[in-house]
Amino acid sequence: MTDEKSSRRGLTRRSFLKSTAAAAGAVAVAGAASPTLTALAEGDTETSTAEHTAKCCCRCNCFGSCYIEVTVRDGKAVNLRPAAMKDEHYNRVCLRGLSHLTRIYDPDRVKYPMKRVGERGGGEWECIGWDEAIQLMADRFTEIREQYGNQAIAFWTALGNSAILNGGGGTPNFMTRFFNYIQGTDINASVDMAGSVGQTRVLGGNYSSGLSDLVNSHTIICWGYNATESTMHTWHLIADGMDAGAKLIVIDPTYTKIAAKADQWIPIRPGTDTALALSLMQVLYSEGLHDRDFLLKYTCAPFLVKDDDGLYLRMSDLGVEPSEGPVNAQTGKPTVVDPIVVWDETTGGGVAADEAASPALEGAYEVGGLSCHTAFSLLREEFDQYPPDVAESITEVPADVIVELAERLAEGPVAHLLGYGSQAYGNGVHIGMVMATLPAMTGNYGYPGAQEGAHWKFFSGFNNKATQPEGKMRTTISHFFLSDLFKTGKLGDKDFPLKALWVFSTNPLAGSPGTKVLTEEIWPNFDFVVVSDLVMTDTAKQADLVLPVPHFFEQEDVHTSGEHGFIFWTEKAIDPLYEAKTDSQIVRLLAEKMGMGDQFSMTDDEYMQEALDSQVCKNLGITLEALKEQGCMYDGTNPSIPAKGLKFKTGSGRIEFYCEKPAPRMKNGLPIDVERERLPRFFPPIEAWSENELARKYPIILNSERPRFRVHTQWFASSWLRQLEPDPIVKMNPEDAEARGLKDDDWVEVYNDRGHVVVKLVVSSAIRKGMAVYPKGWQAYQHKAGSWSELLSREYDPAGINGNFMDNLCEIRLWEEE
Amino acid sequence: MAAKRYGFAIDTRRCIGCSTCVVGCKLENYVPDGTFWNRVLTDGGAREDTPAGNYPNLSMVQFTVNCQHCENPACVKVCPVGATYKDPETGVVRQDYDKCIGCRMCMAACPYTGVRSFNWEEPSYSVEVRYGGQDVPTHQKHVVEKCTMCWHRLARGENPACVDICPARARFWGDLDDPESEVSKLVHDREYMQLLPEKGTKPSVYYLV
Repeated sequence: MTDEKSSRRGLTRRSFLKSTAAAAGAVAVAGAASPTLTALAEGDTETSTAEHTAKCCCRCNCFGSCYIEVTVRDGKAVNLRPAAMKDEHYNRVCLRGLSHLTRIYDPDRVKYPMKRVGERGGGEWECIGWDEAIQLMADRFTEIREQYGNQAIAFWTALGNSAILNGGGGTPNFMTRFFNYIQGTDINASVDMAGSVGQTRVLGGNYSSGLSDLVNSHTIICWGYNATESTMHTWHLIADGMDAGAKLIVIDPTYTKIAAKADQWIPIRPGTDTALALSLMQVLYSEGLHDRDFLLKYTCAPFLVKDDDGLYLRMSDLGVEPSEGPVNAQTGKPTVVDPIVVWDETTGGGVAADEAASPALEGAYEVGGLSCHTAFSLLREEFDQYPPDVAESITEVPADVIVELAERLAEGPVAHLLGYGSQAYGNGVHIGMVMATLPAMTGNYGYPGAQEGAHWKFFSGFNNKATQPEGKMRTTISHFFLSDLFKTGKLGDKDFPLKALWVFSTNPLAGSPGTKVLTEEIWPNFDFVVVSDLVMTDTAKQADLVLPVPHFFEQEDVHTSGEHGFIFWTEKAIDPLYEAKTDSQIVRLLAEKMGMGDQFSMTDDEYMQEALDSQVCKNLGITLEALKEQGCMYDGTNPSIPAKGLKFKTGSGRIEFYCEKPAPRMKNGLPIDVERERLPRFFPPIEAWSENELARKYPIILNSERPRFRVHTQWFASSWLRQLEPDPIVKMNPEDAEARGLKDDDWVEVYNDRGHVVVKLVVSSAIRKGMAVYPKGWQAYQHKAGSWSELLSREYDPAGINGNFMDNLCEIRLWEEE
Repeated sequence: MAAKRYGFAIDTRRCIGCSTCVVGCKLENYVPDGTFWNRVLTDGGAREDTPAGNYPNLSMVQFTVNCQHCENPACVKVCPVGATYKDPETGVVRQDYDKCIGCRMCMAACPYTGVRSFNWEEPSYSVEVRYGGQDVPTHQKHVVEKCTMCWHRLARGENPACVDICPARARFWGDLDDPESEVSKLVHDREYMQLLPEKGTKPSVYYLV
């Protein structure tokens, strides 16, 4: 940047040019006559530098997967714009995407491999070369595997960067290939999973349509979904829906920005959304607004459930031998055909479901000596417990509001948009179940405007064999199992020592629940910890070795979005800064030193080609070459209506709101209560409930929000965003603040038995009495004391095995220290 | 060619105060640390992102404020050296850094507090690359600066950056004197408000309500 110190007296050459150009410039704007003249005269007199652009995907776990055109000048990334997508609905970017330069050129980026000197967490590091770093890892991993077994090398990852070559999470990346081959242990992040467990039980998968379908909806309902803050890139599609005539209803304890935009905001007691949904079902049924035909034909409603064991009554129970059906492509074995039985009112007996002329919706029946009820009768037993007045006493939503909402559901297509708020309580699995069941009451599936879900769709059509050389597989556990695992040394009844940990694409010591327990009790059990990251996160500070990895725009890859149904070739705009190496480069070097280099020697392109070598990709014309040429291609999940045709990936092909054999999300956790899990049911949250004893000591329910300034913890150090949001805050209702003698802008301590944090107070009427809401994602060093995730409970629901980020109680007081 | 009267329409039914336009402007115009030419304001409670009223009877609207490129600009009237002037061909209120003597009379005169900023120090950059449009004029110490309506982009026939990047698609820009332009049609069809109309500055920014 040149320092212009031109004289301001007299007519200098610059000012002469300027006044001439001012006239010429005006002409240029009007008639595009000589833009260059204007541009030059306007500013520097240097000649312009050549620029080129690269198209890169921002892939940071907000699921926006925004396609960005990066301008490169002199080998530096200098500007960003939304790049054109094949579907212009998804041309977009946000303030975080536009702040990437603050991350790429962050002076505090990890530049070299760094080895710990002194105590772990002491903050003393020695910069070492890659050769030494890789040798260290190879030596430690090899010796640990030999002494303790393959499972002793663990990894912890999530979706900080998600792509098919580099990064973590569920895509078929190179790190997964490595960890499968060494048969290590995958410590599952266990975040945002409960709702999808419930949804999958009922529907067999995710069936939400693309959000460009909202223009066809009569009603759009956001359930615990703070779209304008957490996924601002979807807001314009919701606004389009409203412009097209949809009524927007927001159900949330907090008056969020989207609540402010909505036609109707329904404030609700935290953690009680399921009770509201059950009440809506009760009203629909009692007013005869339910779609009987749809329930009978497309759901498990008429299926007979045995009273004794809670399983579906099948023809085999009546002595009819199961037959063989077509071969299952996955297993290679013939499917077993053993039809579920319904009561046929015409014949007055039990028949196979698809053969009944008029199946019964409700009732108790005896078939073949076995007492049964229809699944719908069992569902009705649930929702009948929640007539509007009872639901009001639980949810604090007025009964007349519930009735009016239920009646509206029957008026036209409804889009139920499920956020991640409601599922982050111990009762989160059931919100997923009930949200998939409620629309079935009115046949709200499979046509324009009608949809339900968290609208995250993950492309599952990759060739996962690319990550399974020699068919070897890792073992998966949840981080919630770690306390017991280290205490007993066992997983189930097997000895299961864990000794080394490699963390990448995630920041668990900032973001997971109960970070004090994780850092002080669990972490020390790992003898050797490696963290790959861009910056020194709270987790990296607790490593023995930190490895620098490139920024998104410094590496090529293939990325699929979680939301808009496109797959991208994301280009490399600039070379990696400093000594950063990609995950694939690191794995190659490491594997070579560990004597398994031959399994990882293929090039990046060869690996990606293999990961794309599937029938699904072939059908879509997706190859690496096609992607590089086109940049962005449809992945087949959008803009279709996935539920069209009303065939679901459940055992019966129908909407199974009754789950006969519920299973926990993964094995080796706490045992589940099978009866609890069979139907959408309301249970209070584990901790965040005023009736709990603990609430007398800690009366404030603590909720987090996913603010626009960060995605989880990414961007925590962005200088521009810190200028807009300088301090970590907590928001409280004015009455609660006053009762504690707290004023706006006070430094306050938020605390419970698990930990504390010191932040600034914002008094806001948007916050419900008895609650506090904090924007998440700060690092510990950014607080005067403590950190947010210390306060969060590590208790987990056995079925969901999920982080209960909202299910926490606390108290707040003035911070008297510095 | 007929003169244009460029202005903005900002749809407050869509604006969610996300600050993408705030950051996008900073990026495009190589704006130094600590300065933003565009800001989000909350019409609601006393603090940003807080509503007016008592739970649950609340209201809150966000909107953004940049230089209003007034038709009757107070700043132009008071500038002793003609550093700030309204370009007759486009309606853009421009700031000539080379002429500006840093007296800051314009900042005192402008009723839209905050849209103009003064560089007390040499402009500093936590991001150490020369980001933004190449043809953006260099920021100078001891001058006043503000939204340029991305003059350097207009010269190339492009929109102001903030208009192109708004995720809510709430920002519109064009020739208010052309009845067929999108911005004219919006102002014609929709109810709108303007900021401080009683000051008589005749701002060129229309907030659709």
